[in-house]
Amino acid sequence: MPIAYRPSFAEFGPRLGAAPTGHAPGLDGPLPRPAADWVVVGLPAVAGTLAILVGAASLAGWATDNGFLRAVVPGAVAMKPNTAASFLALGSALLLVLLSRRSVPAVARRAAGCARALGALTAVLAALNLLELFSGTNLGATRLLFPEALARAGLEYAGHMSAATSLAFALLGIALAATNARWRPGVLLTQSFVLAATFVGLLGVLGYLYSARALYHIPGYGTMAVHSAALFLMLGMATLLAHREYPLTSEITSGYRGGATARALLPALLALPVVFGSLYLSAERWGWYGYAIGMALLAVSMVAVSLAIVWYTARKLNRADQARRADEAVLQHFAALVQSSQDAIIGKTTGGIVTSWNPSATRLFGYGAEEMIGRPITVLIPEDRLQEEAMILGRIREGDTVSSYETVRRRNDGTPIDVSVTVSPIRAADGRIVGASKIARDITELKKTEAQLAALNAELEQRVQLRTAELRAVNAELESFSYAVAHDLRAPLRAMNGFSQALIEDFGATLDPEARRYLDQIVRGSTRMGGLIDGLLQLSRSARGTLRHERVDLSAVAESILRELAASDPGRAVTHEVAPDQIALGDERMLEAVLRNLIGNAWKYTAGCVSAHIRCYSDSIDGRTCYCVADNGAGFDMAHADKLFKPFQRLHRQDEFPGIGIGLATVQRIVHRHGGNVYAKSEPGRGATFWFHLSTHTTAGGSI
Amino acid sequence: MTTGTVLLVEDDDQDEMLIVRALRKANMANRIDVARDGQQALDYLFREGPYADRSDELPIVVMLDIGLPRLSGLDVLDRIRNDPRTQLIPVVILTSSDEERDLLESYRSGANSFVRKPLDFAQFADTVGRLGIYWVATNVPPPHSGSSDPTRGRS
Repeated sequence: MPIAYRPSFAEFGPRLGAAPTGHAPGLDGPLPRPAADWVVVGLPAVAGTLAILVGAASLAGWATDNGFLRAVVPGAVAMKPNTAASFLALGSALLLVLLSRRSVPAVARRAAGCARALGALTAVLAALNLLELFSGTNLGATRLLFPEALARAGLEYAGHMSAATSLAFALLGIALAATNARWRPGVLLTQSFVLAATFVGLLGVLGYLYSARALYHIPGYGTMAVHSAALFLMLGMATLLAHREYPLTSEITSGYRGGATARALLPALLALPVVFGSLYLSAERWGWYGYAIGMALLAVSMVAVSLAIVWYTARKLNRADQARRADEAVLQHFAALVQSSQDAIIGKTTGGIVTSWNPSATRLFGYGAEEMIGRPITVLIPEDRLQEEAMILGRIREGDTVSSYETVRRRNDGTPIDVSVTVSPIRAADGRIVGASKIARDITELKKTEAQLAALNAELEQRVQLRTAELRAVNAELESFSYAVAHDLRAPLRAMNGFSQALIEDFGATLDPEARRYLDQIVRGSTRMGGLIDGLLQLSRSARGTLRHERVDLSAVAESILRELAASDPGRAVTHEVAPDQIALGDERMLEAVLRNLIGNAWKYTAGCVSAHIRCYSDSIDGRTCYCVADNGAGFDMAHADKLFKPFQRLHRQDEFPGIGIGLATVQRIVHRHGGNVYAKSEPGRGATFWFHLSTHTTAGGSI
Repeated sequence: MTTGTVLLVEDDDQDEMLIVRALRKANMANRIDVARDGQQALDYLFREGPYADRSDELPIVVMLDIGLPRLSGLDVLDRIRNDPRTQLIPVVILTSSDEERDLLESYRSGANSFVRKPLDFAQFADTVGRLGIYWVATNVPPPHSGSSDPTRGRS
């Protein structure tokens, strides 16, 4: 699967490595670090300082004619003045090189210049020496320093440095003269000079160690002192370490696994052959075995060491590879997640330059990955929204995430698209914010749906308003209709009733009893009609009008209704019981009408009772507060209960109990408007109980 | 008992007959003038139009129905109350309307009393009779309403 951008371990480091790699932490440890400072600076500094000290001590010895100092190491050949001076120079040059690598440019340049000069000087001196040695001519090189002292020591003409020494000095001198110089002959060549000088030193040391004189004494060409050899070995290694640009040094001091492994192995690898060689040689010298056996033993030892090294290296590399594979698998997995996501996932720098672009981004914006990577993301942003990018990047730099930000972006063909954008900061292992991850989702459909919804809502709103207006108009009509009914229907009724009564009063005496009876019927009829009109008006009024929401003291209302009934019908002895503090939430006038109807019915239907009793109380039924009116009157047959609340339907005859049949219909209408319900239960001759509950919410019928 | 005139403004002739009968039955002997609609009532009160040369005094009480054709009773009331000549005359609203707003408007416009015509005839006769007796016999009309001759006295 092609990946447009592969994050480097350096950037994401242990953070991604912290993803499951399948092995315990600590086995491989965290990524290795480059060679420590004490290796690349400390060791060379020590070597340089040592060279300076030795050189200075020897020169002091020559200057003061001190035999001990001249030799430096007791029992060794005296160090020639040139040699001492050269060591002094090289040691200083090395220290200067270290300085130049770690200081400000101005100082560094001077230091490097001095180092080069010293190196060049040393090389020239050594070259002169070599020339004198091989050509036999006297160029005066040996007499440069302390000629009288040399003469006294009898070394006037033997003040040459040995050939090997001169060679080593020449090589190191040239190498140091080449440090940072513009005419560098190539680091590989320089490095080989240094290596050659190092091996010369090593050979000398081994010669002394193994008592192989030929290694440090070439007849006619001088003897290399042991300390010279040691110094060449150290200076050589130090020079290698000090110059990181040498290929060998860069690999060994590198921060990668190779360097770490090399650094772990090198000390042993350098020391073991020498040690083994020394061991077997000694054993042979003591006569334990012949030289062939010694060689064989050495070979076997080296094979064993090599095997161990190979094992160690193989293991390290295998583990590293496994870890890398596991991490790569994780990376691949994450990359696949990004690539297969249906949302556009775009990586960008903190400056807004696109660093990664997944296929969905191509789908959404039209640009291909090659087109967008490296370009600023503002390509996608329409002119009028450019300031958004600055705002987003600002938030990212502070570590904030921009979540689900709805905005408009631009495709490659210029068409705008609605997107929802989420941008979050990408952090490196050390917590620094190194970029941003942007996820963009096409919300065109969403926006369309939203727009449709808004349009529908507006339409609905309009329709509701229209309906409301219609309803208001209808209600207004109803109001005026009721008014007309009240006024206009009543007048003729009053005339009928009135003139009939007037007839009876004024001419009753002269009328036939039959005529009288007919007139009575006319009066009765018109009275009934008046009642019907009143009932209808009441029913219609209960259906319209604003439903007020107030606290209504039903107990007080019930008490007052009962008092009124008692006052208007003093002949009846009705006991009653009203539970106190029954409060309901609703329209006071309408609830009064309800109680008036229910209590009025109770009063009416207990007419034939000897000890009529009416009870008004509250009860909790099914978790709701119900208000009840119970009487012990005539009751009714539950079989006809379905007619109970219908207008004009009665369960008793007019001559049994007069009435229109409107009261309960009105009660039901009002209770429904309050969002509640009314129920009845009865047994003929055993009284009836009516109860109702109102809505627990207060917006039952609403207002029109 | 004063001898002033009672103005009855009522468009329904049946109601008129019943009201007059009830008043007579209650032994009210005062003259009863009837106006059939609002305009007639105003012409009568302000001596305009056909009543231009009415020479009698202003009535001592006006019994006013609300539901009149063209000019409603409340408009008539307004005019009565806004004219200095008729400002003080007692006006009794006698109506079959039981709309709350008519009640409010009547009192707001300055009615002295508001009576609903009962449906039941016996009650109606009783109410109207007592009403008439109260306003012509018990109530003392304001001065300058025509018949307040102090020498006439009250009884």
